[in-house]
Amino acid sequence: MRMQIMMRLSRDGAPAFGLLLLLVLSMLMLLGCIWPQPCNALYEDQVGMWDWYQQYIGKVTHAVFQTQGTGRKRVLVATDENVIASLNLRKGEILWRHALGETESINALEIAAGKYAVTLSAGCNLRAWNLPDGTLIWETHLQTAASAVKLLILSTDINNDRTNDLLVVGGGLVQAISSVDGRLLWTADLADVGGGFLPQETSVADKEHKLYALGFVGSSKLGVAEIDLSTGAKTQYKEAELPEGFPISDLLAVGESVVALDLAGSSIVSGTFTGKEKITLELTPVSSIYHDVSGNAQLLSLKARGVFVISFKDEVIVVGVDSETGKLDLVEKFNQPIAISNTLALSDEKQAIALVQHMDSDQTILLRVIITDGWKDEIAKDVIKLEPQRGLLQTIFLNSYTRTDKSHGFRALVVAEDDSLSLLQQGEVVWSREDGLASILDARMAELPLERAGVSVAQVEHSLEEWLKGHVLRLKSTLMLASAEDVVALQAVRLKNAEKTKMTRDHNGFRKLIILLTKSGKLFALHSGDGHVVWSLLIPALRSEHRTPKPEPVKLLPWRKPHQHALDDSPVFLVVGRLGPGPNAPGVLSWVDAYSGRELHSLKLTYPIKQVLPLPILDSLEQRLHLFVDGETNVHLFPNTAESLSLFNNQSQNVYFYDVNKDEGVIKGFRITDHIEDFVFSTRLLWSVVFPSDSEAIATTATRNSDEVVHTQAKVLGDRNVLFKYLNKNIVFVTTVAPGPSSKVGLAAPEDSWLVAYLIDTITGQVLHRVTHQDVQGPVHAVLSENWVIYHYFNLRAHRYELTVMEFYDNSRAETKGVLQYIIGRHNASAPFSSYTYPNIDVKSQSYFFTSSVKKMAVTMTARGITSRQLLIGTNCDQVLALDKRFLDPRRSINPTAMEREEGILPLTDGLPIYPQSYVTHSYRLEGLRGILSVPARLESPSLVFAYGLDLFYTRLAPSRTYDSLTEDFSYALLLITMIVLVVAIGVSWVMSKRKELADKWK
Amino acid sequence: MAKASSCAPPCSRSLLYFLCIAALSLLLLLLPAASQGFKSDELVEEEDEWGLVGRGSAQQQQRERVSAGSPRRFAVEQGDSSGADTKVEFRLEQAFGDSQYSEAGTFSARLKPSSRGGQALVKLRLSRKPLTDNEKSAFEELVKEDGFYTIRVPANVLNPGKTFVVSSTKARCLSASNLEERFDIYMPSQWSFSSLIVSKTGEIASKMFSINEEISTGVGEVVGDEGAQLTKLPEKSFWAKYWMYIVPMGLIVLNAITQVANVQDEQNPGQASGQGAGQATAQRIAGGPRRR
Repeated sequence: MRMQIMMRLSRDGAPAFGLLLLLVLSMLMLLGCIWPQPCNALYEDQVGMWDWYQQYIGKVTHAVFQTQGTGRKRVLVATDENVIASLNLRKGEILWRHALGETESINALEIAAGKYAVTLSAGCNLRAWNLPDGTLIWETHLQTAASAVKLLILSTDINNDRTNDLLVVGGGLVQAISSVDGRLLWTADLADVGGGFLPQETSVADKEHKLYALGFVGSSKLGVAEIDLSTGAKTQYKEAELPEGFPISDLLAVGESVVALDLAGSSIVSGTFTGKEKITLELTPVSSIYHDVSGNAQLLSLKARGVFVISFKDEVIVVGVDSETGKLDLVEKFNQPIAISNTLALSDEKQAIALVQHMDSDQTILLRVIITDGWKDEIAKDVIKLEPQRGLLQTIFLNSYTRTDKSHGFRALVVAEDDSLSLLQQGEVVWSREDGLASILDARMAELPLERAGVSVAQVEHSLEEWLKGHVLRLKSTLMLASAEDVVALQAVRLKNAEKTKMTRDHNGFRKLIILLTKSGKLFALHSGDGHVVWSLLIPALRSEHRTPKPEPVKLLPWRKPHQHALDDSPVFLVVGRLGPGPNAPGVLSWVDAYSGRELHSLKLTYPIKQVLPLPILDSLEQRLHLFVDGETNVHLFPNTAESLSLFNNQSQNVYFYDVNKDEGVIKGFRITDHIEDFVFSTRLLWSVVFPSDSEAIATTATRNSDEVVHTQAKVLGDRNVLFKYLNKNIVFVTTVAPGPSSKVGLAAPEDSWLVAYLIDTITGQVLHRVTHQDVQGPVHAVLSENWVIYHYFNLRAHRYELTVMEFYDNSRAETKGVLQYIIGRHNASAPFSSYTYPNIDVKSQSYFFTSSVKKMAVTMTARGITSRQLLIGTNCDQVLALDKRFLDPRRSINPTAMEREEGILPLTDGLPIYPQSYVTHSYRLEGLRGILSVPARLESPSLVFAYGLDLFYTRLAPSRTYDSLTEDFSYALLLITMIVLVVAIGVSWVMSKRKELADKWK
Repeated sequence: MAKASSCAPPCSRSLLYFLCIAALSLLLLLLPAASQGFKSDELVEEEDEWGLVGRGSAQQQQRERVSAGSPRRFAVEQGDSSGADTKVEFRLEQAFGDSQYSEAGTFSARLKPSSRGGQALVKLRLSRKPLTDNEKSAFEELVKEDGFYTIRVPANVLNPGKTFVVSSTKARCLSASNLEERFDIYMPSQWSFSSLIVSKTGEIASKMFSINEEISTGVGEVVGDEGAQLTKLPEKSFWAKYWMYIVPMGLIVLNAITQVANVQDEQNPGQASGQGAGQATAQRIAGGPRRR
């Protein structure tokens, strides 16, 4: 049609030339719209389009405020994720942050010399960080490596550099360190003063320039050593006999007095240790101070003058100590639960302390600030309503500021049961951080509800005006007419696209709910569009009741994924937990609705859960059947309904499971035998694989993801031959390494190191393949997908990391070639696969050097498994690298033949390339990377990736580029305009040609 | 993770497969094979010691007929000096379904000091005990109820402890394959690798021995009959597999045929009025110049 017009126009000559030009132009524009965009990496303006990144720090254990001076309002925190961070006190955002690593648990955090944040970690590493920017100023490695180490900031100067110095006490040593450069000034060894004296507590007497170290000597004596602060010389050592039969447990130094509590928590020994030659200890029964005693007593230091706290199960009492006589008396009593802050010196004389008690509900709290003299004088009292699902407040850090009227104002930093951090000031929550998200245990994804009337859509839809404006801007930028402001506006429009944060399912399956289970027992649902928290739930079943051991969350499982009833039912997740620490604690189950975020019901079990087995069976409510293996390898069926029981009875003969015991080096396979009682079945050992304990220790196991979809069973080679993939779902890949503590590079000799890789069928226990690598060592990371496995280890001879790929092909089907044979042949798609047939597997394998060490490995998942896969490697630099599987092809050779080249096989290289563009996380770092989750979208080409550690990162990958959809910023307006222009051009040219024709006829 | 297998079809090849990693030494050890339903009492000795370390890299495959000898006592004849061979024997035990383990045969081997240090097992043989009448009936019962036939050997053959290497197979698979069984024993091993420009994983192939024996005696026959009843799961017929393609194809063909017929039908009456159509064309042609 168009060609016809053009030919006619050309015949007509000059007048049509302009039209032709217009047509060519419009065609070019059309081409411009639909030209596929290469997406090896992100363009600068694509950052944040479909990825987001959030930073967290973890549960705060130490906090110090730095509020002196103008413009310096910050708080320094240390967390149980071994992070030290500086937070903006006004907004709560992170100014700087350092993750010290898994082994460096932080013992203490203080501000020294007014300009450094000093941390003591792993009991021996003392570091000073610059307050404004967090740069490391100095680092000192100390001799002590004890767990109970204390860091004291002295108010005296030891080495005459006009800054106050530091003391580290622990492991029988007292060490003085200069706060300016971290130099060790002196060391006092207290282990040699008396037989078995172990200092536990210290007390500094600034005026006398002395340090008192207190501790038990054996089990019958109390020792006090006096040290001169300026030289570290031991000036005096005193001992006192403990009362007969006093089982020691806790020791506390309160000013110049010592207080010790016995193991049963029923009596206290107290006495003063300064001045006199001899310490006189006095025994006071707790009942004489406070009559109603109810076990579980614990001594707590307040660092306040002359008082300490004993915490009981239901109450907390504040006890005063007479500094002259050491006599004890009750000062105040509070009911549990209560959180007591550190003491804050308001002036030389006055000290304040904050108390937080919950009112009727968990959500409302009463914050009181009390002057510690007499404990009666309240200076501030606020009733504060917290955000929902915070739980009880655990820790409180108090800080004061001067109000505009020159009076004292108070702000409190509180850590709640869900590990969140909030700042309270003037009766309000100023800011709040969900730092529980730094310790994610398990992550899953769920579909959002279907879009329909009645479903509330959280975000307001775009108005037509905005829509038009966006398209005009896009058109401008495509035609390169956009000014700098337009570009900025366009970027803003792109990022704030309301489409991606809608609360309903989209056609492409890009919008999901990310369900996260954290260490504190809180469940979060994050929207995949921008990562905002849709709902959160502090799981009631996982909260501790009456100070019993806190239940531990273990696993998050998809319980129900509605398909047929997707309009009426919501997905349900099952949270598996333990009622207490240790693997033998009884289990607890909680079912949570993924849309409303409510706990549907919960169940406390009487047996421990060793293993959870999701079965591939669904009941009529689309609930997945699960088996829980208890300590006696009996299995318990859930849901416990008659329907699920009958469904399971039909299939119980075909249910097998296995158990990997890493400690004993045994893998055992079981089957279900008898129905013992209601929903309990007994099992019988079917097979066992015993690894020799003296030469092999299990390092890693890997299985195929049960949701994985494989598109094709065969691989067509360049020479038109076919390789059949060995696609057994019931296989486990096991690697064993030489036993011993040789996982660190440099500790093991190459001769003593090896790695053995096994592929084991989990139905029969048959070893399908076994390979030994000499001179290599762990840690081993492995990923198993389709018919291949890739594992990562360190080669001691080559001094490099290696990635090995193994692909498994089914040789027993190799003879079936040709279409006719495939149709009528013996082996075809309808022949069932059995683990009991003898496998004839062809293994192709190849190793490549890889320059990076690995923290975590995963593989991309797509909806139908057609798209080629990418390996997602969490590198040691806490980034995620996407590596094409085709680089890890065992069939690569040095000189691929023409046919192999046609197949896309790359020439063999000894190493694997790392292109900077292939970092999925681009410029971000995911500190403490712990997991990578990949789920398919509804479109085939993209794969959604969520990586978590301290930080969260979400993005969308297209391993084979987006071949099945137009790009996000496809300009529909441009296409429309092009089409309109074309139609107009056709019309105009038609009219013109008509006229011309008519004119010709009249000639 | 639970693994639900597809209902096990009859085994195309016989196998009773089990794995053992014996805690012996770092040396390459070897594996035995055995069969059931033995007749001869003679133990065939072969002179070459298969399974020695470093005896060629190629996979060694041997077929050997092993016959049941009188089960020897479970014992180790101690050699006094390091140079002497030591005879090692360990029991192969079997269980029918949930029954207790009973002796099924004896593995015997020689323990030799290896040139690379440590010890190596050589000349591993299995003497399989014939099944007793009780065991035969137990096995038949097992086939009927589709149970598992289980065997085990000690994980550490030198100091048999309480750890056993266990393996099971469906009894009907075993009977369907005429009681042909096969043991694969994996043991700690050394390996060598060949280098190209990258270090490739060489592999230590499992040394496999498969023993095929004619089953002519009682157990085999009886159970063999039982196995014959368990005919192979019928392959779907050609029609059953491809009806969904064939039916539409047929419809399309049918459709095409009727269309062809229709066209012919239309042409026939068309011929009758052919004159009129021709006139119309002529008129149209004539109309051309008039319009001009």
